[in-house]
Amino acid sequence: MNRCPRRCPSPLGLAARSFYQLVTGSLSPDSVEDEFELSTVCHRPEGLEQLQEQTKFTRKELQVLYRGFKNECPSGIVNEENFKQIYSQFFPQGDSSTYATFLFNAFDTNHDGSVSFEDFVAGLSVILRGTIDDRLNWAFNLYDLNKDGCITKEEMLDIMKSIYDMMGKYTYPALREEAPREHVESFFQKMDRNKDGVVTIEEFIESCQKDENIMRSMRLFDNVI
Amino acid sequence: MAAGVATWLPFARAAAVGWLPLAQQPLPPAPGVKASRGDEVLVVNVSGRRFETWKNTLDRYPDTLLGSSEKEFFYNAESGEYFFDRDPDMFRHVLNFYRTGRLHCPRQECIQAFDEELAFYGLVPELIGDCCLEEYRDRKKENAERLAEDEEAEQAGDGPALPAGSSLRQRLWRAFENPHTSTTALVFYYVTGFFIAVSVIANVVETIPCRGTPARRPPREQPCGDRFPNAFFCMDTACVLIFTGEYLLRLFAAPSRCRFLRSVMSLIDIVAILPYYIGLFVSKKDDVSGAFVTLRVFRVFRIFKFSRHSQGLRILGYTLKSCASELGFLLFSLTMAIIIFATVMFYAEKGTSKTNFTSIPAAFWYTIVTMTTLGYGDMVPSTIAGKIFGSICSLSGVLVIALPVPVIVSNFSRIYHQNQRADKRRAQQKVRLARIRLAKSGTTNAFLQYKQNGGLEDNSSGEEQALCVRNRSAFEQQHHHLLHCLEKTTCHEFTDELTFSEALGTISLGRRTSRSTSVSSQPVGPGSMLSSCCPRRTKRRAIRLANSTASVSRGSMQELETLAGLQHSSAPQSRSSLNAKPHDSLDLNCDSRDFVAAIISIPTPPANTPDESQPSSPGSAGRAGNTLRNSNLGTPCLLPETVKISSL
Repeated sequence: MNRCPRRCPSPLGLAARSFYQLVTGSLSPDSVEDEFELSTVCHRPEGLEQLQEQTKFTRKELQVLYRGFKNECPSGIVNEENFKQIYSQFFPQGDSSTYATFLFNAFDTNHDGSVSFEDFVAGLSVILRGTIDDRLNWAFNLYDLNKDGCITKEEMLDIMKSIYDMMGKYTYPALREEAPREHVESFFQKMDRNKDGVVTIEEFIESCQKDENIMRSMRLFDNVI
Repeated sequence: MAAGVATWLPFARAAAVGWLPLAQQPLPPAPGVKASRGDEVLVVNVSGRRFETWKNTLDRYPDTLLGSSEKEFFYNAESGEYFFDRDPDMFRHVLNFYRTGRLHCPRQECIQAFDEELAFYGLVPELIGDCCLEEYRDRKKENAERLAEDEEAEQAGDGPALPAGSSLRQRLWRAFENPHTSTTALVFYYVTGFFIAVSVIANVVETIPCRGTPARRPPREQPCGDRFPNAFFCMDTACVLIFTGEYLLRLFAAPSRCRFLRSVMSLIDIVAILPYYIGLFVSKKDDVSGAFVTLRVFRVFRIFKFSRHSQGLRILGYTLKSCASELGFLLFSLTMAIIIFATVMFYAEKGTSKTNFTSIPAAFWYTIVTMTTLGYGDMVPSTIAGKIFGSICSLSGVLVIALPVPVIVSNFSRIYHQNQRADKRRAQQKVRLARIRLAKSGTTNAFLQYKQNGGLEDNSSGEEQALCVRNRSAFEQQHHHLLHCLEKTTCHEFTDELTFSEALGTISLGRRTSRSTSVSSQPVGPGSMLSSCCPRRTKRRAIRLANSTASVSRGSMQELETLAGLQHSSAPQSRSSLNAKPHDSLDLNCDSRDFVAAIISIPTPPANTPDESQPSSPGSAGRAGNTLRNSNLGTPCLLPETVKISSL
């Protein structure tokens, strides 16, 4: 007769074990020690020359960026929680966690759950030093939550809601429930050329290039770094 | 701001590119911060020891000495370094704070010196990291207490100085509370104490049997109280008179009579003197004399009046009060045990004749006496079963009594210390949270303040900009620009709680009244400003505005005045303070509802609304500078539907 393997204990054994744990006070799993392991993972970026080739930053700029990055994240990577926390410090009035998640996904190009310095610098390079089309591409990538090449109304609504969440409660005029939806409608009206309910990358770029304001504003962030 | 936020600001600003395609208003131009000269190494010379660090490191905390322009005062041009004539050992910790974001407290240094250094460098003690915070607070508290004790010892002779023009009442109260302040108070204090003692002793002596009058045969023993009734009565009267006088004086002098009446000491006083008065008015009739005798028992409560004189008694009372639950549990467990054993003993001894255990309550006495190991011996079991259970009872009595007492003692000690520490921590937590909230609101307030100071106007009028606007740090400028971009993207603005609730209060009325005035009229108030995101529609809206101003402005005036009720009385053209106009939703789908944003402090006559043909310039609209909240979108691309605000 087969002995019941250890992995599938009988209910009685389970009850006995939990009772034992209750008595000896070891009922709660030890999570503190586990965390220690994770935090010692260290990630080193590629060399400075390689980054210089891959991005459009100068050497000095990369140095400054890395020093700041390393100071804040000694382990070399940012995970989603940290990212959200960092981003929320800029918007104390509202809740920026959803938008921060979207941003995180936009930066985390290889979708491994963490943003390393290369991802960080690559994203910044596109935004700050890329061509207009590159930046529009990046923005499109941010909006396209499931990365399937087109923005649906639901995705846009999520993005819009997250942006409006960042405003917080105390706004003037007071935020209504329908404000994001209306904003999405107007966006689609502007961008969706063939009125098929989704915005593809070509429509997006084309519509943005036709819009004066957007073109002009793209230049705003050139001198951020 | 929190650690390292300055590092991430460029990233947050870059990420704002994501809002660009969504923004329906043009985003404001970036602040013209002069390009940083790259990252350079600064030399900080503290009393000869040179510290070198990146400029960016120091810039992380712009509201401290080293992070702001205040350090320029210490710049030594010949040597090209910043010279501080302070303690270099302490500076090490300060600089580490910039590097790591955590401020540590050195263990071997004096807390006061450390505090002074922190104050000099513009750091608040709340920045001390959690690892060192407890110790810092403990040492600081110790220090403070020691200093306070020294001060008290110095001041032992003289009490707190009374303000010059204090009334008799205040002086009296002070005399009662601090007897050491004046001689009279001290005398009074001792006199009352003496009389309390006298009263208590008299009560005791009253019952001692004195030898009876020799006239009677046989000499009968009487209590002294009956032998010398007049003497004792006089003494009692005197004591009660003094106590009554003292009580009335205290009542007169108390700053809050209700509170005084409810306090424990006053209750004790009343209980102490009331029996006497009741006894006076009750004649010595037999039927009530029993009750009268009982009242005399309450005279013993005069002994509690000593607690005003003794600090120890007060502490004891407090500790008993705080330990009440433990005591209650002890009592409860004892009661359970007593009932159990009494029942057992009763049934064990039921059979025997002439037994003392006549009922279970009668057996209670036996159980209590046995469990507390007193053993009077007035009730003993005679059956074997009774004896067995009796011995079990006495053994368990030892356990039951002995066990909870140390628990209570240790509980009391633990609870007492815990309460103290918990109160301390709660107070600190409140302060910490308040500071954090303050910092958060400080950021928002800084932005709101910046807006209100007209900082959002065109940079072309740079010279006229308020000084405070110009003096913001680069970090602040960029952060405000970021928040401003978000506002533009969503066509909403940041406000504070107060104005939000005000606006909310008038919105609900706005909808109702707007519907009640006319279908096509749009509510516009004096000096309202339309900023809409749909340029095509506003022309039509403006036309309707001109038609409808009269009725609507009246309506809106009325809303401002009454937050409830919708009487459409003719509203006077009074000044309206900063209430938001009843605005309708920002309807970006361009249907018939308007978005009216009005911040008024000056009413304008209804005829003020312009016709469509003159789009007001942004500048003039912006000159609502005396408005408190300025929703002026002063960017050059302001859409031309602003209604002019003209001042009366």
